[in-house]
Amino acid sequence: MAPGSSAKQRDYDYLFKLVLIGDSGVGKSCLLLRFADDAFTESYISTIGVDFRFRTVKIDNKTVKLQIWDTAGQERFRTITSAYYRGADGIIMVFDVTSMESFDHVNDWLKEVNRYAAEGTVKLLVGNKSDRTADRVVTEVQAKEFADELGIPFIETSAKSSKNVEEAFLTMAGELIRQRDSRGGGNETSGIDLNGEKKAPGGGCC
Amino acid sequence: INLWKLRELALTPGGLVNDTLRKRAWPKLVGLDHNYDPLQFDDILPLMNIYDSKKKKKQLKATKSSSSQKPSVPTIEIDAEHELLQANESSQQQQHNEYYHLGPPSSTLLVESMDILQIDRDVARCTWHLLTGSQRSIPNTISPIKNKSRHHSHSAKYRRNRKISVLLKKKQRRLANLINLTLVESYDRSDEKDGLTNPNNRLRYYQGYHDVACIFLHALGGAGTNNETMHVPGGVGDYNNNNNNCNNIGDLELPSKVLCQISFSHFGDALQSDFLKLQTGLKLILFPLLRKLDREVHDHLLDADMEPYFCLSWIITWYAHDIRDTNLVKRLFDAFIVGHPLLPVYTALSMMTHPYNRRIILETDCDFAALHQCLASLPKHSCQVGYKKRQGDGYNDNIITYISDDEEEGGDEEQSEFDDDTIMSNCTNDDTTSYCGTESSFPTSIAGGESSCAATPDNNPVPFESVLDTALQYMKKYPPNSLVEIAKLYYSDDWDSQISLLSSSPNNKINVQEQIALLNPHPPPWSIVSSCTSDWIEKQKLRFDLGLKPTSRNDRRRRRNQG
Repeated sequence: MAPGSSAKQRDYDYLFKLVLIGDSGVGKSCLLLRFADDAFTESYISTIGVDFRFRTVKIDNKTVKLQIWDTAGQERFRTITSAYYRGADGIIMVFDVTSMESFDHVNDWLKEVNRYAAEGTVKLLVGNKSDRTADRVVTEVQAKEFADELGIPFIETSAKSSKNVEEAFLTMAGELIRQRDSRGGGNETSGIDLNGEKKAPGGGCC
Repeated sequence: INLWKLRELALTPGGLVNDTLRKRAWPKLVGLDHNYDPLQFDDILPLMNIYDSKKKKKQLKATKSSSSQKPSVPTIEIDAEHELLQANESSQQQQHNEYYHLGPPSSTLLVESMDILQIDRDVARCTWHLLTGSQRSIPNTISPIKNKSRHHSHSAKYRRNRKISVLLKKKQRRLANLINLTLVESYDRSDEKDGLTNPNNRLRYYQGYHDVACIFLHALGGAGTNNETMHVPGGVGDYNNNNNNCNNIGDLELPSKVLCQISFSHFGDALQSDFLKLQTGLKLILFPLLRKLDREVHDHLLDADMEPYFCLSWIITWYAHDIRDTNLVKRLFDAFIVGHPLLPVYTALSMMTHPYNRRIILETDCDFAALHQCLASLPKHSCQVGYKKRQGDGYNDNIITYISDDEEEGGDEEQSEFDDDTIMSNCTNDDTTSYCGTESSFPTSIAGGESSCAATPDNNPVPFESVLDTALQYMKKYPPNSLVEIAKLYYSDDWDSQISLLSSSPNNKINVQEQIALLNPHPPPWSIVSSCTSDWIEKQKLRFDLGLKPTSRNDRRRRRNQG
């Protein structure tokens, strides 16, 4: 879109790359749709391969640009989507609170993440569809315990009612800012370094 | 019938034009001997029962006693809701999908494939190509549960919405039936080939196959689909007429047979139990060929560490996932059915190297994400139908608000987000060809649709017909059987690691042409047969078999004139 030289004009203080993963039909795309467009639809089309969206948010007067990748949930796509979370700053693992199966599979997803993602990658566990109270099979306590064991923050969301969706992404962004600040000194340099920093892990793996 | 002529037609602008022709041509093009296909010979249909019953018996073994017909709206609605609940229930006790499992009591499916749960999930989210025009603006937003609130229940809009959502549920059921039927049919075939029941070699559903099936259902799905779209102005289907279709194998037989043929011949790699072969195939083909065709674009993408997966959905859905103009997709299918299985890949390359697109690619920052987004949106330069322009990233993925055209032909994505009146006028006024967008200032010739749309630079800067033409030229220049050599030269020392996914033990010599169906030099025999018997001759044979007198051509003409 922007002509070649515009790389220098940064309109953000931080740029983070996030990836949404989880079983098919747990609501990854709906979460993204809610977060990026504040919209919801009952039947969002299946994701084939990978999609991504941007959203820029303000946190503590800092402009944070989130680049969020959305992936297909079916198992066979994992070999392809894993290529996309190699250079990710944060990974959001989503399950459906009305599907025990999707919750059970979080372990499998975690294995994928540990295998392909860089070590410092920030993780977040999200239980989606919390509005469907009647159909719930995974309790909040159960999921929280599980997340605590893994040392991963957990949040329940509803893309439909939009409850906690914003919070989930902002939690992630806040954590990433903290991490980057403690790691990389001043904000400005870390901002400028982004492109180089992002390439390094990707290049190393390929 | 001269099949080469027919294949040529499928590749010329406009393809096979309409569904009436497709219904007759596609089966022949995929080598189906459809002697006893009831759809083709409906005038002697009653006599067919004798033959059908034999065949049905066989099918019934694979068919659960389907639940009884649903006579009224509320029942259907409850059913749909019920199914949703059951989908969840069954996912808990779901080991059964590991096996070729026939009909649990919980569903209205005719047969069940090994991948039933995933199919259910995708079909339930599939709306676009199942609906038409203004229907699309509504049903997504309806929740069956929400609808129960009395608050809305009297408004006309509510009733219309409910009708559409019932219609959609039914079409989704049909689609699920088609996919399951096709896969189960394919099991018989692969088992036959192996001489034993070997679930490992069976075709397995992937997300995206439902988009393909959807188009086959649309084109070949029998009268049901067409009636629904034609009957009622505003596009609300007449569900009463079509209740029978929902659970009727006969209606789905044609699409499922054609799809089954194509699944083996064209989607063989994607329908494996994983994507390793497909992935390797894409890696071996895409970038090496791109370097031959357009060095500059190739280098730009490689500098950003692009993987060839941005075009995954194009290849595994034959663009059905990315293009929302159903008629255009069907036209592409005409070409892909008669073409080499790699034609969609050549098409991808031709799209990327089109002067308009390549300029955009080259102007995009050399950044993985930016390029991914740029590449993924290329099909929109060939067909904007169904997309709403948006400031910023250029398009919008939220499908709630837009309307498209396809049945009605003519696409106006610019005006589409307005009220019902605008929607209706869009549907009826735009009689132009589906390839063209609209811009009212641009005088689009209605009669000369195809030629005029090639010259509509402001709306579809990259017309698909020219993309296809170029794809065919590329194919001539670098034919599929030369690709392995090109890839070997391209990767040279790195070759072994490129194909390492194909084999667990690194020492095995791998023959990629044997492993990857896309690169297999031997096409199925039916794809190069030069002629086949016409429907009329088939019909005479059938009459002979049934012990009837042959009809003369004059009879046929007379009958046609009467009809």
